Amino acid sequence: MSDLAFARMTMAFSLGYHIIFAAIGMAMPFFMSVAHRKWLRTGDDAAYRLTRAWGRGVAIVFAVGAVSGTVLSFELGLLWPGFMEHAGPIIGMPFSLEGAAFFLEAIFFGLYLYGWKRFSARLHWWMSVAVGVCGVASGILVVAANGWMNSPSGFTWNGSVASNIEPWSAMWNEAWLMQAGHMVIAAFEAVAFMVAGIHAFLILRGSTDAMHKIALKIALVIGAFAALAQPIHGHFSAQSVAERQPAKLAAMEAHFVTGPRAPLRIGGIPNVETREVPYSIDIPGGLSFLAHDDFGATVIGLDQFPEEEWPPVTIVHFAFQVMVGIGSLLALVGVLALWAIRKQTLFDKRRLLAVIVMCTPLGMIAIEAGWIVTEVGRQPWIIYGIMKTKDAVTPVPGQVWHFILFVVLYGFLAATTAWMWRRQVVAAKNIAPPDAELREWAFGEESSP
Amino acid sequence: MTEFFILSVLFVALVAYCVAGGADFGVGIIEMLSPKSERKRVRELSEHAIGPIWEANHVWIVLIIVILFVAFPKVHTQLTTSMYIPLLAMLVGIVLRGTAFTFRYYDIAEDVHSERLWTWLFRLGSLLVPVSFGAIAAALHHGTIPSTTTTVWGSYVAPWFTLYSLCTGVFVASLFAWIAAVFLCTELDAKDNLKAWIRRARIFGIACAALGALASITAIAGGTLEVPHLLRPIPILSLTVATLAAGYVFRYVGLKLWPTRIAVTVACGSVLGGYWIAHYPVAIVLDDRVLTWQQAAAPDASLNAMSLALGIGLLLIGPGLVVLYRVFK
Repeated sequence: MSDLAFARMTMAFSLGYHIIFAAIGMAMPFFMSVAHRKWLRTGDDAAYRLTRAWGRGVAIVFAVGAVSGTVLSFELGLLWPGFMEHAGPIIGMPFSLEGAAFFLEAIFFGLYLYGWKRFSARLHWWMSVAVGVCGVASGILVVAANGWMNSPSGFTWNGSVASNIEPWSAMWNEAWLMQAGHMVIAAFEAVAFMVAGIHAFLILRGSTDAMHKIALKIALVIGAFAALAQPIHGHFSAQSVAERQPAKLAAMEAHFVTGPRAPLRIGGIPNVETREVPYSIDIPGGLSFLAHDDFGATVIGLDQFPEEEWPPVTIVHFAFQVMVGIGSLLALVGVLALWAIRKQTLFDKRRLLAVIVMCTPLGMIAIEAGWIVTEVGRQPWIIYGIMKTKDAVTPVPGQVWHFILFVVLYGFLAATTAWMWRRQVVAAKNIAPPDAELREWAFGEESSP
Repeated sequence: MTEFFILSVLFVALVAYCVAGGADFGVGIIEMLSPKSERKRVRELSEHAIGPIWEANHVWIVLIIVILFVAFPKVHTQLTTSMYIPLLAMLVGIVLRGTAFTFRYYDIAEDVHSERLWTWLFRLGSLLVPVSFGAIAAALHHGTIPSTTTTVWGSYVAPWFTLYSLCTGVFVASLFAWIAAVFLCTELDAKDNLKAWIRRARIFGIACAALGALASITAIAGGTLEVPHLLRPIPILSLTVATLAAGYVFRYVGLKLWPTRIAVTVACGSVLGGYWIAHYPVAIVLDDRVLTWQQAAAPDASLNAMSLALGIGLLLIGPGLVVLYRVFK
């Protein structure tokens, strides 16, 4: 394989790893806040212990995520110097703001995690909210940079140099808010189902700790609403892609031939040679409706683009199927769970709990798949329509070694993090209830025994 | 004007990274060099000292990278291609160090086997980062970077594989260790042997000065530095300030807390600042020409936007950091 292929794989690997931690870093602080607030309201020891347990989980993810984020800031320049030299000045604005938001998040997180009994209980709780707000803000801001790669704006390009740079309009590119919304909802959805799965597993294993029941309810309510919002948002997202990047949409749907009443393809194995998609289930006019709100509308197919500008159709199509499939499944599970919570039968439905356990990794897999759709779907461009990925790659040879190094390093890092989380989950039952001093700090004199 | 503002922030971020992040890596080096009986205490103290501010310490390097690619893209590109290998080494160090810290700090169970592995990785990471960092910094002005791509060795290895670069790397490691030793002296409690800690901080200080002198000699030998350069006002001023600050630290380490912390920062800042101002406006010396900050700067619109973002960021982060340090230091 070429250096370019290895550079792309290294980048995919680094980003694919970081995105999991970024998603947890965005959503999980809010979960922690909700549990914390429940404790402050009810004085329930289980809610307190849950807050501490989640806080430890977030701390690990945050520390590892800070490392993998730092790695990414280096990797952008190491692997894609041609891209960064031009893109940096244009799209640096959200990067700088993202850095600031992350910095603030780190500060608030330090204050929250080590600030028990040091501030007033109310102020301390607000810090957990601030952590979450900064986390989501940094996620939204960094997506602006990716949005710009999909929908470049804020400069004029003469073929080799950018001029008339307007950092603000680059930041407010057309793709930004659409993509950012999709990402934020996805983060909440994936994290909610991951957390719910872990706690459902412990309940099924026979734990009677009240902590897990609270956790499961919080996670499932957030997860269900996110999972219901996501398909609606996804629909608008697809329309935006249809308008801005028709080649990407065509690859997502393996839509080779331009025409009216384009079908929505479910499954199938795209054959790029024959331009057919055997074994797929087609819903006539479905894609036309999805992209243009009209079952008869014409949808641009890949035949409108020279073949060297096609993204790898099979990968994009499969990834898209995986993402949509998981999204639909989680929405269904979410509805069932909400119903059971309302009927107060959730903890008796062992089969539903088992399904929730099986959903544990699905949200994260969907995030990875969605990321593949947007990144691979943009190929061969690194800046859509402006710069090809092959023109941005580093001249440094031997990229295979960089790739191997990162596979080993990240494999090790992933195994370690997973192991640490596992130990935290196992140890959660040993978290002590609040002592008298802490209760007094949180609730005042009268509540201490 | 905006360029000057951004350069100042870059400088502040560099000093902050060297002091806050540096102390952090330095602790790993001290742990490595300490006798077995004291390692545990070094670790306890460092975890106590670093825990709440660990992430905040390390965001500085991200800020440095972002400023470079937004405001001075040509410097960034030159750096990421010519210094590819040491930057990668630094990354490996950051990953090992960060994970090992997380693991040692947050993991609950005591497990002797994994413990040993983590300790080893922790130290390796702690050494790899400052050595690469110093080697990169030195190579920027050594004139060994070819302006056109030649061979793999000539383009990606030779620029930093010089005696001067490697000596500077070792010097930076000793500098970080010294900063850490001074900071650790401000964290002790009654059960510690204060005198032993003070002695150690002083030894690290002397080692750091000696290695700094060695790096300077290799710079003179390598032709980067000529003795008359040292006799200009700025080098003299910066070296004097650094010597005075370091002398103050030597005298009062462990006895005065905040003043010695500040003096360490001043010493580190004045060496860096002197080095920087003496080279200004040159950002990178290539083999046949120089790249100045002006030549490397992004268009005005980007610089203005960046200053605004930095201004907003600093307004929010500054007070936040003050609170964080006040609460935990």
